[in-house]
Amino acid sequence: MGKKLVVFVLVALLSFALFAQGQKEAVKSNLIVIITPSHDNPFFKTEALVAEETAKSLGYETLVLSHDDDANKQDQHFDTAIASNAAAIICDNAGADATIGAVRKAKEAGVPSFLIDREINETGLAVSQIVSNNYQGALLGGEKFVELMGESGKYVELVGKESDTNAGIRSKGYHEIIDQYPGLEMVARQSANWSQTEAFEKMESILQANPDIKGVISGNDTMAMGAMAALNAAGMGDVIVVGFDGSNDVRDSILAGDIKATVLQTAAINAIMAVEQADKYIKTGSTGLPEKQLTDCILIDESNAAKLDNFMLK
Amino acid sequence: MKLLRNAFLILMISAVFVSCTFVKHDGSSTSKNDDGVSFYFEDESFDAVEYVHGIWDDQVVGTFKEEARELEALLNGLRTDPEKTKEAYGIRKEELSPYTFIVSGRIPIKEVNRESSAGLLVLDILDLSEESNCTIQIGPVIKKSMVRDALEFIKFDDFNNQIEFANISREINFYIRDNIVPSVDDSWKPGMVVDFLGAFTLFDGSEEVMITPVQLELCSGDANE
Repeated sequence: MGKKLVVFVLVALLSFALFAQGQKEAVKSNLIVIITPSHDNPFFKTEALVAEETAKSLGYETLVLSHDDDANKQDQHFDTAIASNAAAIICDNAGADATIGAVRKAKEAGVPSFLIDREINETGLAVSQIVSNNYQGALLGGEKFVELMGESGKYVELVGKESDTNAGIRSKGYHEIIDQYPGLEMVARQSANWSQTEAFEKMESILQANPDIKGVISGNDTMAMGAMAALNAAGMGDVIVVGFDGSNDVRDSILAGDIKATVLQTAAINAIMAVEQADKYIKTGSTGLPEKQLTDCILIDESNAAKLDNFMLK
Repeated sequence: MKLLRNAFLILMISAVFVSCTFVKHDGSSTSKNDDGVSFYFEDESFDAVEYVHGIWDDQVVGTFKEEARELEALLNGLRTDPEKTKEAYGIRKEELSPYTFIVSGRIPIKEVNRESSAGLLVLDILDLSEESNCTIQIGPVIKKSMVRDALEFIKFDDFNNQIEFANISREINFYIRDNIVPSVDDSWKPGMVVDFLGAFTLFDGSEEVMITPVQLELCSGDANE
C-alpha cells in the first residue's frame, strides 16, 4: 500500500511538473485581461473601459472581468488569464493580502500583473502598482472639510471596506488634519463598505442618535451619495458632505449645491498608464519605472466641478 | 477490497489538500482596532517616529542646507522662465507630480496670522500670483507633505504601502509642529526679519507660495537696519 501511494504521488507530481513546464513555454497570446471590482461603481467602470480602449488601440485583444470584491472569484479570473496564456493582467484587486497569492501564481506562470488603484501588501510580484496618492488626496479632502466646517462642530465619518488599504489611508489622512482642530468633534465613525445603500442605512440610524451634526466626511463618493440622500430625506440637506473619487454623480450633486466637495482620483490616467506600461513590458521586458507609482489627486468643489467628466478634468 | 481502501485513502488525502487554502502568516497584516473600525496593514514593525527623529539633523536639515535656493532668486526664475527653473531646481518623485522647491531666505515679516489653527507668517514679498504674499506655516496645524516630498531619498517604492509612506510625512509635520514652529511667539512682530530654511510645493494651477519650515528664527535687529 505504501509503495502504491508513493508511486501515485510521484506520478501526480511529475505530470504536474510537465504540465507547468508546458505552460511556461507556450507562446504568449495577444490578450490583456482586465479585472476590476463591480462596474456598479462608476469609478471601476471607467477604469475598466479606459484600460480596454487603450489596450485595443495598442492592438491587443481584451477580456474584461469583474471580481465583485470576492477574492475567490478574482482567483478564478487569474486562473482564466493564466490558462489563456494572457500577455498581461491589469487588475484593481480584491484585497491587499488576498491578492498576493494570485499575482504570485500569475508571475510564476509567466503572466505579468499591472495593478491599478489598490496596492498589494508585497513588492516584487507585480510589475507595476499604480495607485492614486490617497494620502495626499485625503489631506486635501480633510483640509477642505475643516474649512467648510469653520474649524468647529460635530461630524460623522463613513469609512470604506476595511480590507482595502485605501479605506485606512484615507481615514488616516482625514484624521491627520481634522484631529488637530479641537473644535471638531467626531460623534460617529462607521464602515459602510464603500456601498451607497449601506451608507444610506447607517446614516439614517446615526442621525437618530445625533440630529445635531454639522458635517459628514466619507471615504468615497458612493457612500457620500448615500449619506447625502439620507440627510436630504431627514430634511438636513444643509449638512456638509465631502466625498472621495470624483464621480459624475458627485459632480452633479456639487453643482446642485448638495455635496460640497470631493477628491478626484485620476482613475482614467492610471488605467492608461498601466496598459502603456504593460505594452512596453511585453515588448521590451521592462517598464523602465519603479514598481510602485503614485498619482496625485485633485480637490473638486464648486469652482471646478463643471470641468469634471468621467474622472478627468477637462 | 484493499484496492478500494487505498483508493479511498488517496481520495481523502487529495480532498484534504484541495479543500485547504494555505495562508502565509507573515505578521504584516495585523488588523488593529481604531475607534471601533479595524484596518489591515497597520504594521507595527515600522516606527515612523523613530525614522523621522533618526534622519532629522543630518539628512533632513543637512539636505535642505545643501540644496536650498534663495527664495527671491528662485521666484524671479519661476516668473521669467518657469519651465527651465522647475527643471533645474524643482524636485518631483513621480512624472505627473507637482514640483517642490527647497528654499532659504531672510525676509521681513508683514503679518503674524493666527486666525486659523493652520497659522501663517505672512512675508513681505509677493508670491507668483503677484497679488498675495509668500507665507510660512507656523502651525500648530502643518498642512501638506512638502518636506517629505522635497527629500528625494524618501521613495514610495522603498516602503511596504502608502500608510508607511504617509506616516513619515505625518511625523515630519508633527516634528515641525513640536520642535520648529513653537519658536514663533508674541515677540514676533511685523517688520522683524525672519531667517528660514524650508520647502514649498507649487501645485498645478496655483501660484501660491506657502513654505513649510525646517528652520525658523528671528534675525537680530529689524528690517530697517
